[in-house]
Amino acid sequence: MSIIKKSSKKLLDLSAGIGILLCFQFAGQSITDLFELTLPGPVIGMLLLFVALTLFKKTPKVLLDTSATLIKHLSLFFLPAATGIFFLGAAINKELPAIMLILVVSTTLAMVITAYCMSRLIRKTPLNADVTKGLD
Amino acid sequence: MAAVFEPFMLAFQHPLAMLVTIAGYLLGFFIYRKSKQKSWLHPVILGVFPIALFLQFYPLDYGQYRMESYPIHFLLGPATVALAVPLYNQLYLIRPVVAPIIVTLIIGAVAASAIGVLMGYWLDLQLSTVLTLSAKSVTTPISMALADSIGGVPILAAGIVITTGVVGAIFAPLIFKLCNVEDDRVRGFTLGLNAHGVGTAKAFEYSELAGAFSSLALSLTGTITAIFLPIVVSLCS
Repeated sequence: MSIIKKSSKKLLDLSAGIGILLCFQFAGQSITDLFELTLPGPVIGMLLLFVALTLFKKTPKVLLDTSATLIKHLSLFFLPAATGIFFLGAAINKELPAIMLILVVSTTLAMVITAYCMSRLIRKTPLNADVTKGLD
Repeated sequence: MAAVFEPFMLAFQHPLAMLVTIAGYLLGFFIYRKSKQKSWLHPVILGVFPIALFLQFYPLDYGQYRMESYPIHFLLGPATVALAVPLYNQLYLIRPVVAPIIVTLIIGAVAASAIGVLMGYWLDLQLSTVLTLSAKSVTTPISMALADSIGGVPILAAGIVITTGVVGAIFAPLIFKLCNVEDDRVRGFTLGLNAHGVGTAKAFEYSELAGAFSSLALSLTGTITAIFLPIVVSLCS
């Protein structure tokens, strides 16, 4: 009995959380459509939720749990798109080795530049170990 | 309206695509955990192989698979919105470093885009491929929309973006080790700026702090690239 109660509470919380997130995604998508922006609806929705949280000053527990769950399994949601790597089409196949080389070299190089730049600039404001809060 | 419902109807009638995707993810997830999180065994990389293998031997082409597995892709929307929560939780650590963030953002976003474009020219690729490369470090939906508007190839953009993310997630631990980066703010921002969503998934494995900085970098890079890239391209052509 208690297992059923517990899991139904979990499912209810998750639905409620996703419901809240979808409200913001919908608002974001509406803004994107209305102003014909190149930014996707979910990204605007994320900014809207961020603003809402700063105004509200307190994150509802349902939202905390739902976002932790979704973010933990973020990789799952990328899988259908990621599989596309194997199916890019004949027109690209000739250029594929060059594209792969470019992606590996340019991404690592840009990451080194970003990390170096940020490390240099951030040195003046060190992170105090006692203010850091772990996830769980 | 019918066109909107179609993918969900397909997923109902052909649940195999969803099943294979979830099975691939679970397999990847557990191997990754067992391997003590070796970055080249990330679930995005491992999960892709069983799915591709399945598509190779089962009479289902990739386009059809995408439609039938749409409900999984759909959850990327709420998951992206959810990134605002850790961002808000870590705001007090972001506020003191706003200036370094803005400078790094500009330098990093230009580097991420320009190095790929220059190499593309140097290796003599088609113009449409080079243009597609310019949006490689931006989150998938933005980069597909951008590729479409600047003369790139949207489907190629999706492949390039995901590959960039995977490359970033694989090489990040090595780069951080070689460059002596131990600050999770730097790790997170570097991952989010260069490797968008896949990098952000990786950043959350370091800490919530790294994840928040990665989410921040992802949305900022996406925003400034979406605004400035079309302008730069129209000035250059």
